Amino acid sequence: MSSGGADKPGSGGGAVKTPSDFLKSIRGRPVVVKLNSGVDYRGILACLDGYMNIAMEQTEEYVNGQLKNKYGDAFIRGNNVLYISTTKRTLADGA
Amino acid sequence: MAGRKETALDLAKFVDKGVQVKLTGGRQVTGTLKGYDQLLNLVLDEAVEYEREQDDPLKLSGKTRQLGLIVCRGTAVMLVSPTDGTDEIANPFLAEGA
Repeated sequence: MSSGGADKPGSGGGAVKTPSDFLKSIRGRPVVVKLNSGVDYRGILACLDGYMNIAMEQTEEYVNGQLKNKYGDAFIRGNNVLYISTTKRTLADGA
Repeated sequence: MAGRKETALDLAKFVDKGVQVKLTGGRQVTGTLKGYDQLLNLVLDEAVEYEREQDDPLKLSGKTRQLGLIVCRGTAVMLVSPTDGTDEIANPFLAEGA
């Protein structure tokens, strides 16, 4: 399996990438989630819903850059989420 | 405001198990999850609140408060995590060398 990014078949030249496409493409990937409180959570994104509720695995909690906690599983309520970030470019490649 | 009815995590599998809950503002509570709803209101039994340092709200003081049976209001819930050791499964995505 090469290029784990979202390999879509050519469906219309003007295919628009929406935030929803981004969120689908990062499932299963390592992500950084920042909350409004400034705390970062790093882990594997397991699941994501329309409220931006997040389920993560192998989660690490960083406060001011320092590792504070580890959670095997973690569920984050979506209203707290400031942003979700991934280290890999999945949609913008070749755009 | 219509939303999807699916949830990101089915809390049913945590019922009658120990969970750790972080709340907005920094409070942290552990207890046995007895019930929940779609808004993430939680009912915890034998709940223990871990109090924070007076001057540093990000640091736990080690002192605890026994709360018994409590309701955590869903809007204040930031994070829910099981307290028991989690089921370790091999993650196929780690092979990407992230």
